[in-house]
Amino acid sequence: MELTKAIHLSQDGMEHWFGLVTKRNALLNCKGVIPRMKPKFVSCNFENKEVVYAYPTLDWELNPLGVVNGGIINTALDSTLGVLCHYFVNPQVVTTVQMTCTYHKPVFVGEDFYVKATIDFLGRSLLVVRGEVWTKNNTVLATTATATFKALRERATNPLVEIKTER
Amino acid sequence: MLRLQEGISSQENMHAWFSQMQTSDFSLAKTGILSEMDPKFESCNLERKELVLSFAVKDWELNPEGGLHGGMIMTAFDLSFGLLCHYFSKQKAICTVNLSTNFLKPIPPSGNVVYRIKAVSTGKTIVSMTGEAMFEDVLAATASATFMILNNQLDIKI
Repeated sequence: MELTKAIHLSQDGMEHWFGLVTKRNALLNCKGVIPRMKPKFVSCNFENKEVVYAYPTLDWELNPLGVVNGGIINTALDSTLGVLCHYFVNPQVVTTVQMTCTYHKPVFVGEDFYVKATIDFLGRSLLVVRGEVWTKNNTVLATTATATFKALRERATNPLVEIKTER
Repeated sequence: MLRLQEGISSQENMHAWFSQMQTSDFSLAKTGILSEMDPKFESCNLERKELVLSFAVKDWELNPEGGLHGGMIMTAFDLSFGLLCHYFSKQKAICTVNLSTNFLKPIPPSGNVVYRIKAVSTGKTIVSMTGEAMFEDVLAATASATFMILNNQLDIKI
């Protein structure tokens, strides 16, 4: 394992960091539910403390009505909002304290959905983050969410910023 | 296979319907996320409008830190709320309107999480529920949800 260099809090630094953590061999994408959802980094904005990820809709994510299960939307939101918090509190790690989601429209199979995360409040230990889920090429607002994250202890080996060495 | 019918609700009927959850004939669980998560029925109580399900923690549900991903806890809550809501909506389709979760303790990567769900109000169109997720008798998360009973019938008989 090699640790990434210290991150820079700037637009360039943010783009660089998200480029690293979304690499196929980044630990974020090596195990668990996140790689199974196949997220793609779309854009970020340092000044607005904002990031956008795209998620494909997959058959295993559907509920009996044939639309993406609400909990899966939550998983995409939790992952995207969480990784944005990680950038701003690095090298601390964060944990979700609370999340509330309101579902406005269904997300149908076959269309990507976009998760936009924006930090509304960045404190010393608490972060309040807003999430939006857009479908139909970013024209329909499907879900809105607000979440509170807590920054925990510093870790020398933050799993999100480790990159597996290529063999 | 017992199917839900309008006007038929009893403790025996509720217990018998949920007991079928892990059989191959249970139409809700054949595909999609319910089949992936594979919940196990523990108990139910019609009078108190309660349902208890357990979900085994699986490797693919973990977060990068190695614990159960918060989103998967919300998914299990959503499924549990949805199943309880279906017992009251019968063959009518339902959808989640709002889901709020508090995460209290991390859940390690193996074992079973027990979800205790209770409907606090069952109206004609709106159902309000609360729930708790317990891991080895420790309260790990709480949730509350609002579901809507839609006018259209499900495509499949449940």
